[in-house]
Amino acid sequence: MDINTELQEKVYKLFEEGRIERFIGYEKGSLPYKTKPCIIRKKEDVRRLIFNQFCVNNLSIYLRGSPMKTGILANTCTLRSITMLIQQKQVNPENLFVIAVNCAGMADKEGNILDKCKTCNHELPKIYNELIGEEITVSCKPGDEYNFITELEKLPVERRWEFWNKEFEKCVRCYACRNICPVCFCRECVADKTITQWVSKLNQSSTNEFYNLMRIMHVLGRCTDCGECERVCPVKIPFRKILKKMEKEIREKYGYIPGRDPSEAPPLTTFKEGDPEEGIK
Amino acid sequence: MEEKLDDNSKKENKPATWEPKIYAFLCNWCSYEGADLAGGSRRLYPANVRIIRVPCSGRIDPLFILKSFEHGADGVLVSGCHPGDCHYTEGNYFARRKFVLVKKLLEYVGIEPERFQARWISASEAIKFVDTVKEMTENIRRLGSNRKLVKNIGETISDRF
Repeated sequence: MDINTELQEKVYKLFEEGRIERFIGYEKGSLPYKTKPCIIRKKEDVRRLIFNQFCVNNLSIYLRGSPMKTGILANTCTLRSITMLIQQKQVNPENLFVIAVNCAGMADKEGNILDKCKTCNHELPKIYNELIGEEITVSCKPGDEYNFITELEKLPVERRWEFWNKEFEKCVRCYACRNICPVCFCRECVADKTITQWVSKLNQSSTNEFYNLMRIMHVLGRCTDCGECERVCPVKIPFRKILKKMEKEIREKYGYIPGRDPSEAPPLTTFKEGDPEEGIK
Repeated sequence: MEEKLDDNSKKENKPATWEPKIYAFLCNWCSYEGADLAGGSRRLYPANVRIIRVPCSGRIDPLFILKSFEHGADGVLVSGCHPGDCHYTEGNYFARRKFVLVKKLLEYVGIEPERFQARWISASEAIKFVDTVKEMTENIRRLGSNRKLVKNIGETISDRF
């Protein structure tokens, strides 16, 4: 049985049993190599559901703030984000029915595996209700996922500044990275505030840097490296290069991996007495 | 604050007698008292430091640090009570995690590590405060004024093209 039929039958059954009121999944996009997220509300519509290697969107963003009983199709990225949302008390796990899918990595239109999937060695967090698809093994060896930033890490300070300054200068402040991010869930964002204006609206590289660094600080310890910010960025700022670096620091210092276990405490809301004090005298 | 410019330095957009400007966020219960004690016991320290009093080092948001640089600080000092001595029991433990990560982030994007310093200074450690300010001022004087993350009113990216 192919994966689409399996998925559709499962969802149909869920609707019949009344276990879900809506289902979040993917449907066909406008081009063969595109898919788009869709929300199914009637059991007759389950025929629209598909899953293939072009299902890149992180669906967990549609979960927040809904009291409905929701079913969701989750690949590794989505599942890890859901874990994070449960951990941050943004989603009630009782209303949730997760159909996880063994994902062998997503592809771009030429069929090449995406960069974020090449550096993924995450196992599916055990929060799903059902699992579909053939079993796969993770391809990236532990420790290898940070290889793509070591080059940048080794550069001298000035060169690193040149690199990031050039990248952030491109930013057009469309805030797409913030809007797509599953863990950017503040009702009111600092970037939108005009009374006590933290983020200036000036068209200037320093204000772009301020905005981007602010966003990165705010997702520290919550970013599950789903790569959505990088995907939606119209000027292709390599956010993962900076987010992955911070993920590495948090992992080394506090032994915390985001999106692993919903009962863990986020690293910045907790502490240990013997935490490292690098750089503090 | 208006700084006088002479002809040569105008071209470089640099004041004639440039002095480093350091913003210091000090915890009310320890470091601020420490700075007070330094003054009270007539210890001299460079006048480059601008002290901002906060209720606890845990109050220091990473945005304060970015904003300081944006407003033209050449260095930022954050300081609180030694771990275990917090007036609010555990504020500085949370602050410690924040400072360590912010420091890493700033270094990674290319801010010189000397420009952002974190210290534990208690109310009795006036000398440590004086030494810290002296050391930071020296280091930053060597590095020169900060041009990174600084907001220039009136200049936009499109002006450069």
